[in-house]
Amino acid sequence: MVELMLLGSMLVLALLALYTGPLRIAVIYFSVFSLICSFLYLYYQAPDVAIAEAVMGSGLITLLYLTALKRYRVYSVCYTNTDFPTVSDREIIEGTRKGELVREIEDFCFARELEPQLVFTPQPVSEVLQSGRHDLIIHQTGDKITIIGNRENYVIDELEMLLVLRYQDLKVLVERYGGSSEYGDDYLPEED
Amino acid sequence: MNTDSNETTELATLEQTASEELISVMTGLLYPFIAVFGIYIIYNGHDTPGGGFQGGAIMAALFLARFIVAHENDLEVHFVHNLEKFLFALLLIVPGIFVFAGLQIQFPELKIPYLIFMNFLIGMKVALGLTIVVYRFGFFEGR
Repeated sequence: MVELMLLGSMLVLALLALYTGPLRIAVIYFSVFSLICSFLYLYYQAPDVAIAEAVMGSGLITLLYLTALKRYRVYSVCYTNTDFPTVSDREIIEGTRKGELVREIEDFCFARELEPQLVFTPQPVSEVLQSGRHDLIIHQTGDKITIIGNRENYVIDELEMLLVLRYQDLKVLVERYGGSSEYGDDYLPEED
Repeated sequence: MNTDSNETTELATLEQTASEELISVMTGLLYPFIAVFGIYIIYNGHDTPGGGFQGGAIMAALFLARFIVAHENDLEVHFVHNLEKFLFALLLIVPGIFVFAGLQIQFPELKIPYLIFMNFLIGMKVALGLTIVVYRFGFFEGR
């Protein structure tokens, strides 16, 4: 009975680790999988292997994966705004209302050593999406911000948290599309 | 920038430092237990479950806990690397002397200390090796 439960939960956790989009959560599932695996080794009376599995599988490997995930790079960020199509450098440096958000994003990236290139474009979002050239698209219409990015890109979650915390008068929306290499052919955001 | 947004920024940084402090304090509390557990597993490796490799991996967790908390590259990786090479040489020499010089037949009572010493050597080597792997990966690769 115990054996069946452990094996079943291992299967469930393995599937969860495979099919979970945000990679950090998938790594944690994998870590729990290793822990149950080590319980199972103990159940099969191999305590030696159980200790090794517990330390390596759920300790060191998790740490290595999390460190590797920190290396996830955002190479290019695209910023579109329907109200003002262009933002000049001076406005960004002075932090006026037009350039404030851009500056915020730059600071955010700098704090995480991401060093992306920021692109401003007057093109509509659907065209930017179709070109598939950007890792992160930030679209602003009035007081509504939409962040569009890959589901596996965890930078989005942090950016969303920052924007929600700092700009309480703005409405922050997050749109995610799936897959690691495909650029949402099936996904198009609503045009205002 | 208005005062309201400044306040929320302060709140966010406050929360961040609080969570970092939580992690560092908890890791500091766990530190001696990890060390004792690792040494216990290496020391009793010859007749209970465990041994050099498992104990070494636990000892490596000791260094890696430091890596998580401090996130500073203040470990002399080159020194550790040389130490590991020296341990590897010792690991080859000690059994060579013990087995081929016939010490195990001459002094059969030395067998248990010999096993414990070998386990300690293996444990130290594994701990240093894993530490080097993670430190190199964390600080040098991909930057």
